[in-house]
Amino acid sequence: MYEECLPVVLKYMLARVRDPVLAEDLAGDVFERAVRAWPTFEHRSSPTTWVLGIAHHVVSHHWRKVRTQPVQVAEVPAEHIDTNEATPEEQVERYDDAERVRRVLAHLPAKEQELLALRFAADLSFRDIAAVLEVREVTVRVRVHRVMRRLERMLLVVEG
Amino acid sequence: MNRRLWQRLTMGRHRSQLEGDLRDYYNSAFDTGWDVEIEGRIHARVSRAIATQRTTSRVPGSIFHLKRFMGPHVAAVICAGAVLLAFGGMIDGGRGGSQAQVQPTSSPRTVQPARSNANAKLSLVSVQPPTSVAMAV
Repeated sequence: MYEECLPVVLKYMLARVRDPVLAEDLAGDVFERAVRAWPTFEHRSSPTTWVLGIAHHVVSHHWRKVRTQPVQVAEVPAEHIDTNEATPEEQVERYDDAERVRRVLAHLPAKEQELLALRFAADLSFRDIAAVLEVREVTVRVRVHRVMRRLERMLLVVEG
Repeated sequence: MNRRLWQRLTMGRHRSQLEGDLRDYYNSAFDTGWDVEIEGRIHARVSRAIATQRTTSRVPGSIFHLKRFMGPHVAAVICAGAVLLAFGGMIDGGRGGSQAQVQPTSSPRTVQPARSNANAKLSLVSVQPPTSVAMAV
């Protein structure tokens, strides 16, 4: 279960809390709960989706407890940009794209950031996101569509 | 070309490009890779949790056994009954004690605490020498 779920859960946690130490701590909490609740897992979804559902509750509980929301969006270190087989111009362009996305994401509310984290960081399908958030698949599709449309408009403003 | 169709086409291009940018962003900013140390720390924590859980559930007749084998509702009813019985026993015990202490009597000479009575009996018994000893003396 670890090998399959841990990288995804860690990435999701980092995207939600922006702090590597806290993300690891919360991920440990998630797996502790997952192991305890494993007998109740009914295999209606994949284990990753099920564990991400627990992660969603753990993060929500954490933010309720500290009563703050993440305002910073992680910066992209230049060395993390995948520069294999890319010309210097392409590297600069990719870095600019990532930086542009980061600036726009910082203005999104926490719920919308979570939706994007589940969709693009955890790489879940609409159906799996619906299972994690315990809403209907149609609702997820509509919400993601609205967030993307909003992002597009914000990017147009940023680009001028 | 129809303006609305043109907008849709350009928005579609933007959408796929934006999705690509978002994937790149999350993969580059939050990609932790496979860290053996993190895995080890989390595994140790989970192992401790499992060990604690086993120790707790090994206690026979515990609330965990009741919940597992009878369901949460039956377990809750049994626990509530046990608490009520214990509480009732405490109340009964308290009443008994108070009755013994506050029992009214007509004359002050007959009012003696139970402990002093018992002590008196004990002292009487202990004062009387055994017959064999008396005979020897």
